[in-house]
Amino acid sequence: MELSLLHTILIALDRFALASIIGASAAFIWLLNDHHARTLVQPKLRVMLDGAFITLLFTTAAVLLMRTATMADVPLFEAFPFMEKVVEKSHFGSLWTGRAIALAIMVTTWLFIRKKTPSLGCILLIAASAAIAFYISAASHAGDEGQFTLDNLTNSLHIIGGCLWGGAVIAYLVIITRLRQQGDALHHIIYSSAERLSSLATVALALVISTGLLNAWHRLETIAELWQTDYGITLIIKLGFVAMMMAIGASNRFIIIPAMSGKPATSGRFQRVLTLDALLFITIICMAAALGIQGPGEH
Amino acid sequence: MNTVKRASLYSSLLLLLIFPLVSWGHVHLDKSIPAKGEAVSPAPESLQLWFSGGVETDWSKIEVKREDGTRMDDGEISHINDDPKTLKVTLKPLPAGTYKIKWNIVAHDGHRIKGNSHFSVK
Repeated sequence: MELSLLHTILIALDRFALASIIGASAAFIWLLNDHHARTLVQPKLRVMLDGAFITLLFTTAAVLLMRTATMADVPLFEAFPFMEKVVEKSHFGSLWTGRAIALAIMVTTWLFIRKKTPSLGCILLIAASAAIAFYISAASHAGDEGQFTLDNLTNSLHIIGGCLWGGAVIAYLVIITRLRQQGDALHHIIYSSAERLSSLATVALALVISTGLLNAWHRLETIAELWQTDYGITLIIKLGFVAMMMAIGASNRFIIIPAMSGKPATSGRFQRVLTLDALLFITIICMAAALGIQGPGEH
Repeated sequence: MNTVKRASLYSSLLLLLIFPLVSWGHVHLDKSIPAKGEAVSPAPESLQLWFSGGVETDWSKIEVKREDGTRMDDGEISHINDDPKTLKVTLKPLPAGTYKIKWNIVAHDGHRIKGNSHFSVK
C-alpha cells in the first residue's frame, strides 16, 4: 500500500477516534438526561469509548512512526531508530510529546471514571481532547507562527467544533439503536434526546462557522487555489459533503424532529437519516485527511 | 423552494465562503538569495532561503553544486537570525559559473518538501 494512502487512513482513523471520544462524552453530559436510559445505553457508549481510546493510542504511535520515516527520509520499517531523535530534536516531536501527555491524562481519567462515568469526568475527557486538537492544529500550517497564536487557537476550535458535531451524531446513533430495542416505551426519551442533539449540533455548527470565518479572513488570498489545483477541487467536494450534513441537520431540526413528537413510528426514519449523516461525516474526515497529505502546492 | 432546499443552498454558499482554505497546506519556498536564475556579482558567501512556514535545521539538507558536481556548500544548515522560517548554508568561494541548488527540507509539521533551483556568478 502506498505510504500516502496509509497515512490518509491513519489520520482519518485518528480524527474519527477523537470525534468519538468528544461525542460520547457529550452524550454522557448532555444527550442522556434520563437515568433509566442512561443505565441502558451506558455499556454501549463505554464500548464506543474503549474502542476510541485504543484507536487513538495506536494512531498516536503510528503517526510518530510515519512522520519519523518522512523526516529521516527512510522506509517505514527503518524509522524506529530515528524516533527518539524526532521526539527530542524537532518541532513536530515537541508537539507530539504534548499530545502524548494529553492522551495519557485522558486514558488515566477514563480508567478512573469508566464504571460510573460522571459528567465531571466527561468534561475532563473533552478538555483533554481539546488539548489534543490544539497539538494537531499546531503541527499543521495553522501553527506556523507559533502555538499560542490566534491562528492556531481558531483552527483548534474549528477541529473541536467539527469533532463535536460528527461525534455527537455517532454517539446518538448508539443511543437510538439501543433505546429502540426496548420498543416504543422509551420513545419520549428518544425524542427529548433528539432535541438535545439538535441543540448541540447547532452550537457545534456555530463554532465551526465562526472559526471558519476567522480562518478565511487570514487566508483568503489563496482562494484561486480552489479551482486551480487538485487540492482545491478536493476541498470543494469536501465542502459539498459538509453542506449535505448541514442540510440534513436543518431538516432534522425543522422537519423530522418536530414530527417525532408522540409518534414512535417516526424514530426509524430519524435513525436512517442519522446513519447517512454519520457516513457523510466519515467521508468528510477521509477527505480532510487526504487534503492534509496532498497540500495545495501539489497539482 | 422548500425549507430543506433553501437550507442546502444557503449552507453551500456560506461554506464555500467561510471554510479555511490552506490550513492543511504544506510549507513552500517563498524566496531565496540568490534568486532562482539570478546572475550575481560578487559571489555570495551564503545561500539563504525563506519559507512560508517553520522548517527544521536538524532534518533538512541543502546542496549547492558546480556543473561538474563539486559540492560548494559547507553542509552546515542554520536559521537566519533565529527565524524558524529560514535556512542558510555557507558557501565556499565561488568562481564564475553556474551553480545548482537542491533542497530537501523538513517543515515544522513533519512533512518533507523537495525542490531545486540555480544561479550563476558573473
